[in-house]
Amino acid sequence: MTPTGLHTEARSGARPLNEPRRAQVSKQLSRLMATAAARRLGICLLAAVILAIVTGPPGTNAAPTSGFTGSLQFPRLFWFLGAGGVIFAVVSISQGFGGPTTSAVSRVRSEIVRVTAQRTMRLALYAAIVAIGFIWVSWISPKDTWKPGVCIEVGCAFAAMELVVYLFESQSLRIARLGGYALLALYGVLAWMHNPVSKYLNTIGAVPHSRTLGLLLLWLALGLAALEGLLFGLAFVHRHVDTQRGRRLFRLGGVVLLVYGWLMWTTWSAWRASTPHSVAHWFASVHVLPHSRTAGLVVMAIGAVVVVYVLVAVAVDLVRALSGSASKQGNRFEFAGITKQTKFAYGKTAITIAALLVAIQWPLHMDPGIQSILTTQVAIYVLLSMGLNVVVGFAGLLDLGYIAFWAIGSYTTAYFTGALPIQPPFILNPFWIIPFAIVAAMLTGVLIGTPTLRLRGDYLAIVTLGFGEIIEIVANNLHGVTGGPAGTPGVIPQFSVHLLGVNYGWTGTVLPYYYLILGVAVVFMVGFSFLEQSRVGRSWTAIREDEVAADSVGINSLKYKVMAFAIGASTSGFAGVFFASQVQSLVPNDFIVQTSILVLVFVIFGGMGSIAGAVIGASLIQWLPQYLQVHSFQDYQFQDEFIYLGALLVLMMIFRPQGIVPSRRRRREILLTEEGVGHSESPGGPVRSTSMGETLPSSYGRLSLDEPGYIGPETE
Amino acid sequence: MTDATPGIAPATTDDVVFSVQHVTLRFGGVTSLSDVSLSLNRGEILSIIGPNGAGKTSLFNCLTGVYTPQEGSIIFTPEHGHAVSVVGRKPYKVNRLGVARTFQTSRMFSALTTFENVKIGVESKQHTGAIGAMLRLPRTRREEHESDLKTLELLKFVGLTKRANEISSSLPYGDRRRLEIARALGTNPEVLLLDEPAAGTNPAEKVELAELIRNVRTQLGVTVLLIEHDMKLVMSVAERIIVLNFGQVIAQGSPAEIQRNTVVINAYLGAPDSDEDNGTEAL
Repeated sequence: MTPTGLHTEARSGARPLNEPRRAQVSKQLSRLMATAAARRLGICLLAAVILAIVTGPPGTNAAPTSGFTGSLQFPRLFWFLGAGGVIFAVVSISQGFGGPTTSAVSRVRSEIVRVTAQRTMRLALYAAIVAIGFIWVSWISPKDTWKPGVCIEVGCAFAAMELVVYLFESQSLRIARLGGYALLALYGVLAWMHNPVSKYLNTIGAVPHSRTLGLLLLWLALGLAALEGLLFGLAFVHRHVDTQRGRRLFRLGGVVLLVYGWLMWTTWSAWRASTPHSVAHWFASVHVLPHSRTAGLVVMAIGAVVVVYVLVAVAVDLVRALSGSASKQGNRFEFAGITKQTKFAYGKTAITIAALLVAIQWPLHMDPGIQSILTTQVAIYVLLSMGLNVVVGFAGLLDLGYIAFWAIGSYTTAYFTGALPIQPPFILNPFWIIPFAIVAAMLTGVLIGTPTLRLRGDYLAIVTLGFGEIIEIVANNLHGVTGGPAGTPGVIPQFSVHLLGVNYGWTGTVLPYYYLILGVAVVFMVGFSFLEQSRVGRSWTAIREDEVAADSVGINSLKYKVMAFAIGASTSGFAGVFFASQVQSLVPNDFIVQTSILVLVFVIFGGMGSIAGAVIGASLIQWLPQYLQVHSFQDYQFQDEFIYLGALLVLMMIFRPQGIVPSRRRRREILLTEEGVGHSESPGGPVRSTSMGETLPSSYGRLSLDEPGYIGPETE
Repeated sequence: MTDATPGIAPATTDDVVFSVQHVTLRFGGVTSLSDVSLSLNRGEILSIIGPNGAGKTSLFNCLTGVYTPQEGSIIFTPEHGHAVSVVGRKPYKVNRLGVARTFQTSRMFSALTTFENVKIGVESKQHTGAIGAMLRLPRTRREEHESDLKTLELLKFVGLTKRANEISSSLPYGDRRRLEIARALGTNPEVLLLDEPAAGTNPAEKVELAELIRNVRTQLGVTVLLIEHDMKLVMSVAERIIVLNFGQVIAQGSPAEIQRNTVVINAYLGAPDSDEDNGTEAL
């Protein structure tokens, strides 16, 4: 009898004895399988196997399955499974902590208290770093056999560090941890420097000899120590300093970070431009700063957030203090002792402004190739996904043919600039085409929307999918109008302004375009966020959540749905003008259905109903593959993108269904749905349960009223 | 009229708000309402009672445009304006005429706060469009301000002021009912249809609810049509009662008359040879 069997019988004594043991075991197993942890483990391992297959070597024509078998060979698969296990552990532990519900500060505090749990988590993290590092290293250079050994040694270094922490933590945790970091740093230095000690250690195999690795470890240790200090400082400030002084300290820290980041960044630039006389270069030469552009950018962004946060807070306080009498008037929402929630979100504003600064500053320092990617592949898609967010996120309508409106906007531009085989009555500058494109896309949206938005979610999705296909096929086959698959015969001119003595053309580099689209995107962001907080936005939420109830308070749901559809369509058409005049020649292939799905993925990934989510989703997903392609990672093919996106979406749906930056309302809806309270389904719109019978959706009741087979809800 | 609500002048019988004539509603072969005729007078509290499945909620759905009856007419007469037929009108249009309702199972917008829930009702008749909202035009801001104030007033009226900023799905059952009433009142109705507002509430909340329903009529001057199973509530609030059974009006009259009516007692307790066992409370 196996131990499992014993266990089972001991537990289930009340069960009838004649039940076969195998059945009991299987029952036990199925109960085990039903637990959340088991499911999570299964998902992680499965994902690991899939990842192993996806990243495996390509098959050859002679042996097509060799890629598959090769990717599942023993050591490789083992590592992937290990990574899956690590992810499982990390997720389990982080969920054990209470997940994202606790606030960051209280989590920091409780983590300081919960030493054991924290150590476990850190160990898991180190293991994950080592494992991922190994996978990455073996992926980009599979030939170097020494690298696995190095990874193991790095793991050992982490373990030694943890050991120090463990041994001395009873005395003072923080000092012990700093000691651990020092040890890690020493290890890095030994690996990096050339001296007799490190040579000796290298010969006995204790420390590898690698400059890159040594520096990496050194900076990692310093970074961990800095983080520790930051956490300590934050906790200290939180406890001992009043808000005014705390704010000043915070600002100071931000400025320091900003300067440090700026130095790091300029170091990198100086290094590359070989200007050895710059201060930053000197810092780098004495190893005070690493020369990394990315690290510099990150540190600078953090610093910028802090500085802007404090500045915004101070500014708002100042305004309030100055308008002391106005503040009383400002409390006009105070009524019967309560106030409407009109808190000013400092943090959100600070992050938005900082992100905007990064978006303004970053492209200036990029190669022209990356600038072009940021413009045509990222900025335009950000516009698109903000528009789709209105349709899918705000109004809850699943639109799978969204890109058709983009095509309409683009071809309208081509038409009015005379780039199509048919000639327009008058030729316009792309700027003056914007209203035409918006109106064309909006009209199409209303035409398609008015009949189909009466349908329930799934049908709408299918109709829009068909519409997207129709537009692409029309563009392909209507040679006389669109130029067919070969593209537009003429060249679409770029933007230019000739007005009131101002003559400016968006020619030459791609950057002016980028800033134009950025400006437009900011305007749209502001407009859409006003929209969300308005009567219209609330009506959309009402319709999304409960159409019957929305009807009962006098909301014309069809009107609002069409409105959302039209707004989305016109945004798309607007983006089409930019796209057309940027690429200057249109091919029907630009408007395939996959692009619609792609934009939908941005919205879902970023967080439905959240404008910031749409922007982040579009930028991340669009930028990353382009970046990988530019940096010519091995094995990365553009066609593979959808495999990764699919995997990403599956993982998102499991671990974070509300998206990266969810909107408050949507997150609540999803949480409620998981608890079985709410009505919200996926973007397809609410599906009513009719268990209580009395209120079917209006269209449903009306449609089926006279059908002979329909059993009325009142018959019980 | 009995002593149910002292101090309130009985409604004049010729001022009819809702006139339902010979309404028949069928679902396939099942007749839910058959030849129902009734009238709702302006300013009264009328209660419709009946066993489960009697067709009360179907009648509500017909009155609010959710269902379209196959036969009969339903005429709504607003205080100022022409009489209009409700049959075939969409629910949101019926609401715009001045008919608001609550639901048997509470249907709030559960991801929104109490405040926002009521505000949706209040602002449903405003004019701000998408462009005005995006640009924050002066009219948008003015309307927002107006609806804020009205919402707060309504929240005070139903006694939910303290919970204004809570998520509506976190409210207890009794408060949800009151939230729904506030949301319905936000649309500025002439008639309020309440579908079992006391379901799932405790005795103390029922007393408050009765008070609230009376206030809706006296303070806001809204005519109330009430479906309820709780006989104590019905008898204390209603001025007139209509009893439905199997889709037909079997009795109507003052609460005292209904309590004595043998047909009603048979419908509820079952005739000697029937085994109907629904709704036995408090009769």
